[in-house]
Amino acid sequence: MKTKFLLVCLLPICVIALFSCKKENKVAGASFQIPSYDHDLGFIPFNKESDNSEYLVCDSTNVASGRNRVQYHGGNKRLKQDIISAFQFNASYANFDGFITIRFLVNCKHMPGRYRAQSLNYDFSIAEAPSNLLSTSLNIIKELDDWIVKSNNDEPQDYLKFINLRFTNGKIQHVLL
Amino acid sequence: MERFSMFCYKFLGALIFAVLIPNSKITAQGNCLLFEANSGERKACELCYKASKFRQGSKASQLLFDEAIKVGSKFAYAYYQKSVPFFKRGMFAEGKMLIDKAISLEPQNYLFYRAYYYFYNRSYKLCRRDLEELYSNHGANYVTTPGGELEMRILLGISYGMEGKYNEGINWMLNLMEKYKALPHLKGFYDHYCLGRLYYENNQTDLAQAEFEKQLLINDQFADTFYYLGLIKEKQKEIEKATTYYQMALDKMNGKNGGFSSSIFADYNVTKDMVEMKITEVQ
Repeated sequence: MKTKFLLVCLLPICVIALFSCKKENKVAGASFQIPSYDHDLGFIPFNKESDNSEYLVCDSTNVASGRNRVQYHGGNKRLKQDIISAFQFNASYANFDGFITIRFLVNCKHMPGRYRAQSLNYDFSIAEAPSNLLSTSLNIIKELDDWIVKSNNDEPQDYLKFINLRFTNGKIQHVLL
Repeated sequence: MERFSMFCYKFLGALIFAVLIPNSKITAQGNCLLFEANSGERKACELCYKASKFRQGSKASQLLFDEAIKVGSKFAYAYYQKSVPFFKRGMFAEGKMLIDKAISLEPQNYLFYRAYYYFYNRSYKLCRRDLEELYSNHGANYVTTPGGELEMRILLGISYGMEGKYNEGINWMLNLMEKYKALPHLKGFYDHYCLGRLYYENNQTDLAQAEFEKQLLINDQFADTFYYLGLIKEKQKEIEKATTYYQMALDKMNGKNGGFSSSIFADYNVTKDMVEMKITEVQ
């Protein structure tokens, strides 16, 4: 009786197990390239093509990257206004729906530098921005120099900041901080 | 016969551990021992544990996740965990590449994370697509934002709201409220407020008011509720009451007596400027 009961229990479980094994998710393709960097992700290494060689970072292994650690004098409201008012629409941008993401460091002397910009589609895949939109956006952010840092202690520290500009029909729809 | 029974019991136990549990929905890292010894997944899982001991986004942790992906290319959690610091540091393309892989392996566990970033970057249509797949195709029961503030159906509801499809948004919020009937302890801090917002946008003022009043029972320090109660009273031409609510909203936004606001609703956020403008208007 006991054995029969066990066999009755085992049978459906075996069937479920069999189907579970067959239901396999899509496997990661062999061509997948792991994005890998030889430094902490919060750090932006020196690039002689674009960066000022005199711009120094105190400790590349201890860059703070919390969203509110770097703030703008006058707050986010002023920051957004400054960016939007500096932007000048050009007809060649009109077909661009996507993001321009700008990352930069504010070093231990509270100076901004090592700017990087990337254009993306709304789904975060890499996009090609029209004509000079990438450099125009980058220059707007470079012009901002009123940064303040929120330090948790007295030790000088470097910070990472990023600003995501969301464009619709080539115009800034949102400044996402 | 006794030996056969014992064999059956052991077989049953082994089957549950070896097959059924690893195939169930494991969102957190889980127990590495659930994976077969020396399998790629077991090794990847152990490497992820090691990685978690280092600072998120540090070179050391990233290299361990890389190794985990190499030895266990089917271990979705490694792709997900590696994607997190990329998203948090504005490296969205790399983050997407990684979370897409995690989703291709275990959509039921990782769609929420991509949807979360679509939502806060105002890509509401994409957010909606991921979350509808999560709830409709994968039967998700209760999934929150990574910080646990909001159930993901709230993001889905607001996404519909942002596209002007209020009825669809309300239906998803009601679907969430239905879940709470059996699991009332899971009800969140802002659920009634969000449903009230959608009713308000859909011109269902009475239903909106009822939800805002329920919200006050959950928390009466949240400024945004008072702002919307003010809007309703203003619509009903009760200007004095509206003014009182607006003033209460402003006081709470200024932190008076423990009041607060929140910026977790993206385009559904209420700002101090909005409240101040209303106060000026009604005066």
